[in-house]
Amino acid sequence: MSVLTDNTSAWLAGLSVSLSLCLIAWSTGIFVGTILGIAGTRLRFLARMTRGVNGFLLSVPLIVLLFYAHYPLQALFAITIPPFPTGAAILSVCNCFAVAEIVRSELMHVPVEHLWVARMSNLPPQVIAWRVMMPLVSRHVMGPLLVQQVAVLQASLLTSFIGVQELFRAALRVNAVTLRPIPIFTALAIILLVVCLPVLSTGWYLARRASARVQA
Amino acid sequence: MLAVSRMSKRYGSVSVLDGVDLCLDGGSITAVLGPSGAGKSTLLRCLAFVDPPTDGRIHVDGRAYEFPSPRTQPPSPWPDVVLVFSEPLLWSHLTLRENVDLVARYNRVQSIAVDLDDLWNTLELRRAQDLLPHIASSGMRQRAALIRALAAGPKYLLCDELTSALDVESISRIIGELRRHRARGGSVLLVTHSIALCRAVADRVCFLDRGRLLFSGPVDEVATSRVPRLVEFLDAAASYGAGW
Repeated sequence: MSVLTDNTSAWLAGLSVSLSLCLIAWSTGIFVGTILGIAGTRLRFLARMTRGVNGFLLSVPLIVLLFYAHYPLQALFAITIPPFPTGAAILSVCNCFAVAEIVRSELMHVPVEHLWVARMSNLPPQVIAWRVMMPLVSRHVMGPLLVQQVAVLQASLLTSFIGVQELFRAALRVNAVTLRPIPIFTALAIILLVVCLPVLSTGWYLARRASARVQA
Repeated sequence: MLAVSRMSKRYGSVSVLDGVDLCLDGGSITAVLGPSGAGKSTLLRCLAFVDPPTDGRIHVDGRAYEFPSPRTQPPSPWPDVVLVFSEPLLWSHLTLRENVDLVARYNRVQSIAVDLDDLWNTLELRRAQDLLPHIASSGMRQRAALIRALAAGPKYLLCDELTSALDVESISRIIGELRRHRARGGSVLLVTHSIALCRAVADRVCFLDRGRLLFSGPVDEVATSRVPRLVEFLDAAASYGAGW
């Protein structure tokens, strides 16, 4: 515990940077990704494009993308962007396309007959959208979406390699001073567990509940 | 009256319905028999305007619908025509009662008015009203789907294999409700594999095979029909004691 209490300001600063990174990536990813995902159900070329880009982003390790965006790309254009915006941008782009794929595939799995029943029942379009389709789709999307956001939080640790002063970097700094790697990285694991486990559990619960309802 | 003339449905090069002519009068129950893949469910989806025909014409109480659709077409005849699918397809985030109430709220003016309180009682779902669909049994879900369809006040109720997975008591309750719908002046088009159900409830019977309507007539004429494919179909049913 002394590892945490003696270096509270370093841990809090790191956690604050990590959460700021994640908040940017989460909000951008969920907002833009949801729009891309919904549009992808109607526009085939957009669906192909998001699938292709997502495949590329999943195939190339994030750390390669971060290094590429931070060093060669900036040298190529003769610009200098601080590590934090670079990390936030790369995480946001990855999250956008991952969310778009989640939203699109879950939308495609909601039986169209639910929509047909609502239309035949003479429900107004806005009622169909808000009272029928949105709740049906969101229940399916919420599980995988939350799991994806946890993956973004974990991926944000890699931004330390381009110099972002986030949680993992804070742990490295504390370790450089105290030289107690076992308690320090245990503390790091506990902090991540405290942040991620509730979100993951909620995601799993929602995914299981949606699956049970579909089977019914 | 719901009348269909020369209705065809194709998916690419595959013809599923081929020149079907059919007429549903008010206050009648028509059963559609036929082997699997005959086009029975497609016929219902076309009639419900959720999967429009490729060719043909549908008249619903004086409104004419041409297919392929011209530029101007009357609005789809919902909720005068409502289809109940073989799967109940209740909205899973709403309880059985909420499923019905949502439909009832937007259908205050109905072609065939029903007393929903009475429906919950006669279909014996009163105690299950507050269950979510995934908790309710398949019989409860199917009966709730029927109540939800009737809550829209349809004149023409299209039912696809409504009783296929239900116990005899649930089937009996559903048959009772279909008869009440007929008594109120409504029409029912019932796709089924059950010859017993056909005999118990239908006024008219249609026999569909490979997308073509081979027989259409009063229920009494089925046994004496000489349509070879229908005779073959009924013989197959008779061979295991389920014949006409």
